[in-house]
Amino acid sequence: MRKKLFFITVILQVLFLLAMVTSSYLLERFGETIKLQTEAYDSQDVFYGDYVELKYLVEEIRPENWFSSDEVKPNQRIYVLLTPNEDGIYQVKAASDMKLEAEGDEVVIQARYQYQDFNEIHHIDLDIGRYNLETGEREEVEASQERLIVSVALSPWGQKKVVDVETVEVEEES
Amino acid sequence: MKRSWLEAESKEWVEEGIIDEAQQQQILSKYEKQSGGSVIFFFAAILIGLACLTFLAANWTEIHHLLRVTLIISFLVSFYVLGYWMFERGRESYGIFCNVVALAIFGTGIFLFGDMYHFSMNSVFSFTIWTIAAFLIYLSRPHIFIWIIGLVIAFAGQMISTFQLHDFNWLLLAVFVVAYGGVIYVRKHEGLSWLFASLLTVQLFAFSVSEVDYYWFTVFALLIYLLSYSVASRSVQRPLYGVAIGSMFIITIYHALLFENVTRVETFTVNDYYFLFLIPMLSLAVLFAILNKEKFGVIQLVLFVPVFIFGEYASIIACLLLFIVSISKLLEGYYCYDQQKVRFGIAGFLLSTCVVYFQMAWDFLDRSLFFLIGGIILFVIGVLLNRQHSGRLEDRRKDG
Repeated sequence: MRKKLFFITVILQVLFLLAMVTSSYLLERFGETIKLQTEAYDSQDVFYGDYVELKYLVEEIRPENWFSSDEVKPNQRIYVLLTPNEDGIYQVKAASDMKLEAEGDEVVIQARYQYQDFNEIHHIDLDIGRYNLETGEREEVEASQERLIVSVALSPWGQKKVVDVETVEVEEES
Repeated sequence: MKRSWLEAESKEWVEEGIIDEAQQQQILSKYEKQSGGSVIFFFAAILIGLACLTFLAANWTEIHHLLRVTLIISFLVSFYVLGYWMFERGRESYGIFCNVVALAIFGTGIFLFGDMYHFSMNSVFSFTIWTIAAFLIYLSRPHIFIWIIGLVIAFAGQMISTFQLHDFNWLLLAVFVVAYGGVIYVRKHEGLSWLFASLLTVQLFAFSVSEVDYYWFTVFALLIYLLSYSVASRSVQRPLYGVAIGSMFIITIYHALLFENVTRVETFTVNDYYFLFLIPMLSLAVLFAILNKEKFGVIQLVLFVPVFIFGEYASIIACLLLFIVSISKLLEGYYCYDQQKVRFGIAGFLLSTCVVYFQMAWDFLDRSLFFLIGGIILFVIGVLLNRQHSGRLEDRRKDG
C-alpha cells in the first residue's frame, strides 16, 4: 500500500510539473491574446538583471472608471473590464472588487489593488510586470526609449502570461 | 534524558534491589541508543539540495527551456527512485535524505517553471501543492523529518500569503491542521506536538494582526485551549494548553506595556462581536477546567480577560494577572511535584517583575511595594518547597 502511494505521489508530482509546462504552451496557442501598452520608461530604469519591469497603462485607474463598493484593502482582488481602442490596444473601461461582465471584444482580467494616489488615481497590479527577455528581445528593448506594446495571453481560468514584448513608436502626449 | 545517565542510575537501582537486572534491561530498551547519523544526513540532504538548486539557478538563463524542464524532472525522479532503492536495502537514513532532496527539487521546480513560463504567482497555490506532496511522501514513508519539512513549507507559505500578498490562505491552514495535525493526533509525539502547536499559534496570530485586529487572537488562543480538552493524549494536550497559555502570557505583557499610556486605552476600540465570541468560549473553558477539577487551570484562565475594558487601570490589572498566573503555576508545580511547572512559574514571575520595573509611569513607592510583595511571595514558596523536599527525604529515611 505504502509503495503504491509513494509511486503515485511521485507520478503526480511529475504530472503537475508537466501540466505547468503544457498549460503554458496551450495558453500561448489557444488563449485569447490582448495587447496592452506600457508607460514610457527610460531603458536604464527598466532592467533588473535579465528581467524587464513592465508598468502597464491599465494599472492606473481613474476615479470615473472605478466602481468599487467599499474601501478596498491593499492586495485585494480587483476585476478590470478592458475594451480595445481603434489600434487594438486594450484600455480600462471599468474596475471593481466585484465581478464584471464582458461583452463583444471586451475582456475581464484580475489584478490586485495597491493604493490610491493624491490625484485619486487607483493603482493596481496585474502581476505580469516581470518579463524575462530573450537575448534578441533585450537588445531591441534596450535600444528603444519608447513605450512597449505587450501581448498578454489570457486563459478562461484566469491565468495570464506575457507572450511578446514589442517596441512601438508613440507620439508624445499633448 | 541521556541514556548514559539512565544506565548509571539504573545500575545503582539494581544494586539497591529496587529493580532486578531483567527490569533494568527492559527500561533501557525503551531508550534505544540514538545515533546522530540521521540528523547529519538530514542536513547533508538540505545542503546538497540547495547547492544543486543554486547552481541551476545561476546558470538558468543559458539553458534552453525544454532542457531545463527535462533536467528538473529527471533530477526529481532519480532522487525519488534512489530513495526508494535505499529504503528497499534497509538504509533508511539515505532513503530519507533522497526524499528530502527530491521534495526540495519539486518545490523549486514549481517556482522555476512559474517564473520561466510567466505564470502569475498571485496566490500561494504552489505552496499548497508542495505541502500536500510532502504530506503524501510522509504517508508513504512515515519519517519525522519529512513531516517537519512539510510543516515548515506550509508555515512559510502562510507567512508569505499573509504578509506579502495580504491574503490569509484558509486552504493552506486547513491542510496544515487536518493533514499535519492529524499526524500529531495519531502519533502522539510530544516534541512534534509542541512544534505543531507553536506554528499554528503563530499563523493564527498572523491572521489576527493582518486581517482583523490583534486582540482577536485571544479568541483563537481560547480555541486552542478548548481543543486541548478534546484530545485524550497528555503528550498532545500539554503542548496545546501550554502554547495557548504561553501566548496569552505574552499578549498580557504587551497589554501591560501598551496601556501604561492612558490615552491608548481611551482610543482603543473593540468590535462588539469580539465579546460575543469571547464570553461563551471563556465560560466554556472555565466550565471544563472546573469539571476536570483543575483549580490552578481556572486561575490561569484570567489571562484571557480583556484588560482594556478596565480603562485607566488596564495596565495595573495586566501586571496583576501576570503575577497571579505565575504564582499559580509555581504553586501548581509545588502541589503536583512537577519541577518543570515550578521552573515556568519562576520564569513567569521574574518576567512579570521585569515588566513592572519597566513601567515608568508608576511612582517609586508603588513599584517597591510590588517588589516587596513579590519577594515575600517567592520566599514563602521557596520555604514551602524546601519543607516539601525535606519531608520527602524524611519519608524515604523512615521507609528505609
